[in-house]
Amino acid sequence: MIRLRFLQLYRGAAGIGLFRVLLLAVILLPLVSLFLVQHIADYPWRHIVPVFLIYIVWLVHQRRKDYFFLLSVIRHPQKLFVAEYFIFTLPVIALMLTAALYVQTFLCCGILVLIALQRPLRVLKAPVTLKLRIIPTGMFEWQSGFRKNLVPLVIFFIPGLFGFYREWLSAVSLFFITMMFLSFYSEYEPRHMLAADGRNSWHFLVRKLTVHVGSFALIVLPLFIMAMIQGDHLWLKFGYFAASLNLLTFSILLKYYQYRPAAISGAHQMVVTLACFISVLLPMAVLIFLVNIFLAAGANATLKDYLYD
Amino acid sequence: MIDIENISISFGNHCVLDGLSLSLPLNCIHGLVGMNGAGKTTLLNIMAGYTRAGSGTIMMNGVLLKRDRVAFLETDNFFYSNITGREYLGLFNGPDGGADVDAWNSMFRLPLDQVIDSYSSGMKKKLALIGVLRQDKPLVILDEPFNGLDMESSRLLGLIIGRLKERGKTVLITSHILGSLTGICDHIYLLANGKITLSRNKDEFAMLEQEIFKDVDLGYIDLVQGIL
Repeated sequence: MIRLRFLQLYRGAAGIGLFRVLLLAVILLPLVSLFLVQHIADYPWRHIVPVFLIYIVWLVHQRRKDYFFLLSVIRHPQKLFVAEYFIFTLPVIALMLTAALYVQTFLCCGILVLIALQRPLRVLKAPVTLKLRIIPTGMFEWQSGFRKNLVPLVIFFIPGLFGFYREWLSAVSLFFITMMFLSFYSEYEPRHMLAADGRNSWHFLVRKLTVHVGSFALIVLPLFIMAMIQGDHLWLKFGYFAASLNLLTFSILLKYYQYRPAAISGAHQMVVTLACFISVLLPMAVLIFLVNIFLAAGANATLKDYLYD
Repeated sequence: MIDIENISISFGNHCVLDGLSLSLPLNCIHGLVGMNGAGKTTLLNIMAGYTRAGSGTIMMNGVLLKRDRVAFLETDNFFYSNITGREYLGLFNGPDGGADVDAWNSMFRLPLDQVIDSYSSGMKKKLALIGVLRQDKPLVILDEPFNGLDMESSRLLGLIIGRLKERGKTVLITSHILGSLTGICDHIYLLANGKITLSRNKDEFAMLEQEIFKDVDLGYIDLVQGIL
């Protein structure tokens, strides 16, 4: 089964494209790892790494859909879960050991085993449906995204409201909130949902951008205001606020640029994450803005095949 | 009248539709049958504007048939994850302005406030069907609508299709099961080898099964007897 998992990864990577996989595997990952290895030991918040790792694995485990299938083909799927979680978290475990977090690493491994041994919640009960009447009809990406990410959204949003005390709290909060909202657009709707409101491609795009980016601006506005209470670096703060809106526009346009009905795009997720990191250097956000102009034309051309043009 | 004229399409070297022509009278229920891979879904995709034909045209009342005149229920219904049935139906603003989702749902009694991921395949089919019906388009195309439906729902679907005809719609249905079409259709067409090879009206349905399956039976009887 582990071999099958690697085959799945290999085929998934083939779907993403050789160039992008090479870019990720040969350049970005080693560079980011090197940076983290060099700096994490001195970083005061390094203890968040094992907590974040456990949270991510727990989330993945609870959402597993293959439990019953695995039960039908192997006797103890828990052993497979343990092996999978250790193999895929190995880089982070190595990073924690580098940062001399020995006790935390030991505890983290123990908790990973415990998570793997329990039955995923998803197979124990029907999913609880969070009521989201406040989100307007048509913003199905948000309805879906909030249901998937409500807890992390709240966890990352609340500290950001204390930006009046320490402005970096708002900055970190804005970064993670933006990352999560960008991920809302990695799933592509089926074509009858796309065509539901009867608009042509250009009107569809304009309305989508207006409603979604406008609503997102309202959500992150409190973080911006809290950060502005401390009166310095005003232009920088405004720049990051604009960059976050620019990134959401990028995510929406990228979705429709490479739209395929009823699909989930790993490439989209990867590219928007990269764009988010790049935008931390504000001048690069201008580059994303220029890319958006190109994407808008491309998305319009793609949608012409699916809408009433 | 819907006039399908000389439609051809190939995927690679495989010619799926080969100069297919067919005239469908309006305000009728039309059935389309054919074996797996005969090209039924491809034809419907072309009619719905989802696939471009290599050649040929489709006209409705002398005007090129456009996507905004067609409501299309696909065979496999994919839904966006983690949205509820009510949110999904809210996307389709029908003649009621999208207000009365519950009235529509009284037909199928779906748990509209639960996420669609928890629905069975039959429930998903019903939900997609309500979405299609709410669009209120003059041409309704239903690709294998009876798949996954229980007996009661299949019966209800038959009544709904009859009602669509009464309200002036033209309905085109495909099915692998001939019996599901003979009870409700005004015309049935057999698609084989990329063309319509047989066309029968309601009063000719009695012999239809025999006409379609006579060659098939001859080939398969020997094959089955040779194996079992």
